[in-house]
Parts: sequence; structure tokens; C-alpha cells
Amino acid sequence: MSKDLELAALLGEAPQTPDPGFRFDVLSLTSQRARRRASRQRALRLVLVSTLVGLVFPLAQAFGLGFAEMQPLLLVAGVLAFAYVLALWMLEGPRAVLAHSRAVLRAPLLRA
Amino acid sequence: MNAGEEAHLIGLARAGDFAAFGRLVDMHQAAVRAFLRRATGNYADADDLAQEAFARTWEVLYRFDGTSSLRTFICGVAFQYWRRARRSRNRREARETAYADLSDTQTDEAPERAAQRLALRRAMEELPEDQRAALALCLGQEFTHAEAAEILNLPLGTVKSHVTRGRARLQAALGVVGASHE
Repeated sequence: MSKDLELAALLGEAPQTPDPGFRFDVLSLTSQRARRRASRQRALRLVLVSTLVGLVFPLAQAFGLGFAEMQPLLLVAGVLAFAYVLALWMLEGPRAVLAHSRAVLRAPLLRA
Repeated sequence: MNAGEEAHLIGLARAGDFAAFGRLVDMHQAAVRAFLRRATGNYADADDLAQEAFARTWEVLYRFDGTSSLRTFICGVAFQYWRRARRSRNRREARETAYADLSDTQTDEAPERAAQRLALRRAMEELPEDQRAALALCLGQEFTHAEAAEILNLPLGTVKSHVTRGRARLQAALGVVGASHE
């Protein structure tokens, strides 16, 4: 068995103590990969939504719907899209209004 | 650290806790890095692969079902990375020589030991992939034969015979070096 350990030591030794530098490198690589994956998903979602929006008009025309018939539907879709963008901006935007309120609300809960 | 504490850390890491994952990295880095150092023969390459393997483990941690140990699970991921890197290295016909690899790790050792190390690396290079990985896992006694079988996805008997035959090849290579120094 000691012969095995000697062979193993000659082939490459195990680090004696956990290396904080190694841990740091792993965590930074992990977060880098997570960011890359998230941005890929965001791009994919953007392409998908743009494609769907772009498809609405040709499909509607193909089914014989003109602009006049689709006007109420488009109005509702526009209002919903605006509400969605506004909600996203309030939750995650550069001046996230709701995020701040949420933090203010959470502080007393944490103290309790 | 006991199994309960490790399970707790795994749970936290799955929920996105980076600090918990960092502690898991600390717990298992020695075994994973030792395996890859022996398999690749180059400390820098081994550590790069180990980092990739840990980063991938973070992404696929939800697949870990607890039937094996986490260390075995991570080494399974590391083995896949090593195999892929080895194949791509073979494809581009590695430019580095064994001597250059050797200088990466040990520079101030006795000439005889350096010759032994080089002979072992050459012998390892000549071994089939699975046999080499089995030796890298089992020689340092960080992993049992059963764990190695799980990591390499091989029958237990095959792993045992890989280790026995591989050990004999390495000892023969060392014997040749010893004889040439006498």
C-alpha cells in the first residue's frame, strides 16, 4: 500500500489544505457562466417575443383580418405590453421603486 | 464534517447560496485536484479542469440524488471534462513535451526523482483512458475501487483489474529507471 502512495505522490500530490484562491477562482468562474447563461436566455426570449409580434400581422392578414377588425385587440395588447414593461421597470429597473419599498418593509420583519 | 452537515450545505447551494457552495468546494477540492493532477500529469491543466468541473457541478447540482457521495459525483463530472480535454488535445497534437510539463510542477527535486516522475508520466500516457483514470483515483487511496467504478461508470471487477495491471506497468517503468541509475 505504501508503494501505491509513493507512486501516487510521484504522479501528482494532493493539496494539503483547501486553497482559498482555488475556491475564489471556482466561484468567479461559476458566476461568469451563470451570467453568460442568463444573457443567452434573455437574448433567446427577446428573439422569440419579437418573432411572435412580427408574426401577428402576416397571420392576421392570412386569416382575412384587416386593421379595422383588429383595432380593439391591438389596443388591449398594447396596454398589456405597456403594463408589463412598467411592472418590470418598477421591480428590476435602474430606479427600482418597488424593490426599495420591499427592502423598507423587510427591515422591521428582520428585526422582529 | 458529517454527512448531515454536507446535506445541509448541498440544500443551501441548490437554493443558490454561493457561500455554502464555497464550503463544499473547500471540502472536496483536494480529492478532485489530486485525481486530475495524476490523470493529466500537469498541475496547471489539472486545476483548470477542476475549476470547470466544480462550476459545472453548480449547474447540475439538482441532478445529485444522494445515492452516491458528492465527492464521487464531482469526480464523475471531472472525469468527463478530463476525457473531453484529452480528446481535443489529441486532435490538435499536443505541442508541449513531457519535459515542459515536468518543469511546470517540480523544479528543485533530485534528478533521480525527476527521472522517475518522467518515466511514470510516460507510462501513464501509454495506458488506455479508463485504466489511467482508475489508477489516478485509486493509487492515492482517496477513492475506493467501488467509488472509482461509480465515477468511471465501469464494473467493479474491471476497475480492480485496471488498477492491478496499471500498477504493474508503472512499477515496471520505475524499475527500468532504477536499473539505468545503478
